[in-house]
Amino acid sequence: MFHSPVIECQGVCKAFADGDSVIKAIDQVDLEVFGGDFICLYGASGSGKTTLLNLIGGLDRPSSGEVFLDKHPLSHYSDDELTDLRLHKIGFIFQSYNLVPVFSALENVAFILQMQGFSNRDALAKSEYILQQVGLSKLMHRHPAELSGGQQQRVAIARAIVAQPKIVLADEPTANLDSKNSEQLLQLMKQLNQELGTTFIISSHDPQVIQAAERKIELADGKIIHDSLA
Amino acid sequence: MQTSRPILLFAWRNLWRYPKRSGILISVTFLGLASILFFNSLMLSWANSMLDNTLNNLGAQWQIQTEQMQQNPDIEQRFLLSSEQQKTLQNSSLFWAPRLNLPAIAKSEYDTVGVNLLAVNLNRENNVSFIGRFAEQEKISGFNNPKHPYQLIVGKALLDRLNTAVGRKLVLMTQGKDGKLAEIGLRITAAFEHSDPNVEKTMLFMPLATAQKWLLLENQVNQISLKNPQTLTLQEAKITTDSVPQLESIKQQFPQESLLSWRDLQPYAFASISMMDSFNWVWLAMIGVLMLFALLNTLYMSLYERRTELQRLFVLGLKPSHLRRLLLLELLAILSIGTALSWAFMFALVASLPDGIDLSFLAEGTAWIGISHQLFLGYDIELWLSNTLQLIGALLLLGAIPIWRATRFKVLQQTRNSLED
Repeated sequence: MFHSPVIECQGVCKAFADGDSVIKAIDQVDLEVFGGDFICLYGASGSGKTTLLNLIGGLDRPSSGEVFLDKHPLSHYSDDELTDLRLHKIGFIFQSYNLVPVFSALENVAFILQMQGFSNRDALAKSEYILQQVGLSKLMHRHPAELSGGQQQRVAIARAIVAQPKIVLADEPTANLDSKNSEQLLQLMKQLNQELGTTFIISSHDPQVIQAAERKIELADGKIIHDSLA
Repeated sequence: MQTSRPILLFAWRNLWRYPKRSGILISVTFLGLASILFFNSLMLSWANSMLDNTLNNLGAQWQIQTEQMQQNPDIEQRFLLSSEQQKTLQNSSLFWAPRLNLPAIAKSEYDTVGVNLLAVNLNRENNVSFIGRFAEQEKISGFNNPKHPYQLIVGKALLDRLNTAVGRKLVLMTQGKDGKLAEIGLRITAAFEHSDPNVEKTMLFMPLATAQKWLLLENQVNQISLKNPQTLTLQEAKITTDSVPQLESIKQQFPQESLLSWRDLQPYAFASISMMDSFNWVWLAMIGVLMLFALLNTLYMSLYERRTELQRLFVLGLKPSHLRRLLLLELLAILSIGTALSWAFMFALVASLPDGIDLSFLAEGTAWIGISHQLFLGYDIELWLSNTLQLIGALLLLGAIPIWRATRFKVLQQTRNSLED
């Protein structure tokens, strides 16, 4: 466990207009995430899990407060710089995998590295290695449509970690999987967390995920009501 | 750039991800551009045919005649062609042919018909009009030989009308210089065919020397046709003035007569040739607008369907500029395939019609508008290229608008209602 915070949220609020009323999706959240953390954000629907994930990932800007990544305030970054930040320092895993359908598993993973400026050869070599790590060495030339849901999510995990990001943000990664696949996926993420020291922040309702997390943060009405670290 | 390769590969594979949609867009590009190129070729062959008919039939490039000749071509418009004038024409390096162009009546054993009698010197007509070339092809010798002065060349349609044949005699009547009717009997030496049925039905050619002798018009003519040895190109034909220095000295030699250009003699042909570019532009604009509607409509639909995918790519770290490059490359690939197909089709079409398009079923109409009934499709690569670039450029430029709108991400769409915004 590292002790310098990778992510720090200080008094973060996010409010949305809904007609004449204002909805506070995130309300005065203070949070420190350390390198190597394996966190699960949980709570009822509408509790603010995804909004908090978006704010941490630089996909949205807080109405007030500040999010720091490696002690750098995200509000100081332009939109293009935030996009670069996501490409190099943050990995994303989505509920519906969101793989590029015209690319093979290998090409999907390599695509992120190529966009970072890696040569085609290096990108493919690194991607092959990561796909072996996630147990897809025999399926790496298949296209997403030829893979099961669990296999697609493994490819998505490989894509998220291939560039060795500081953190991986996963939004309901097991929501489309059965319990056996969910279990395997969680084991894989934990293994990568322990072996590579990658920080995972997972938003989920899934009890399996909550159970597996080292640190559990419960949200309700945009506020943190329970943090197992505290 | 390292990012170009994966984006290019992505764009190319995306084309075949939705084959039906890409097929529609490629078909629209192919049909639109092919129709523009076909229209270019058609207009080109039309204008070339019109110019060829205007210059090579009987009109030539310039004519020396009296001012009233165009309204009233008869014996009264005659003028003396002096030896000095002939010398000037001879030294001008232009082709020239003196004529007597007279209204006449042709009479066979069976019928009498009003005709247009042209008394010519076939040796001089050789480089000026179709009748000279006809005489050369048919090896009609002795037409200008004073030993055989009573010869006549007649259109085949007129022969049929008069129910006569080559070898028989026709009687011609026209007004003499004294105002009285003059008559002559001439033997038909040959019969010509012509793409313009009116020429074939109404034109008769006799030796100029015989006509001058018959009508007592020694060295007198009422028309001199002139032609530059250098072929007039379509581009030169569109220019309103001639830059031929010899014309000035010829003009001075004929102070009483007018030197008229083909542009003055055939204003309809000149207007049509000049407006060819405008016709091309109008067609390009019309097809361009239609293509734009079809293309933009399909593009908007496809971008709407792909908005989640584009958003996810943005989340993964692809900048809007990367996404725009991706979508523009997809559009460019579609337009390029459509362009290649339409060019290949047009080359094949032109090559498959070496004998031209036969419009003889519209012979009266083609004659009326002054073109041949055989249209030879050609291609002007420069024109094709410029029209293709203009069209594809405009489609890319306007296609960039929905692409730009679809990739204008600042933050996720779900934060649109954020208080900050």
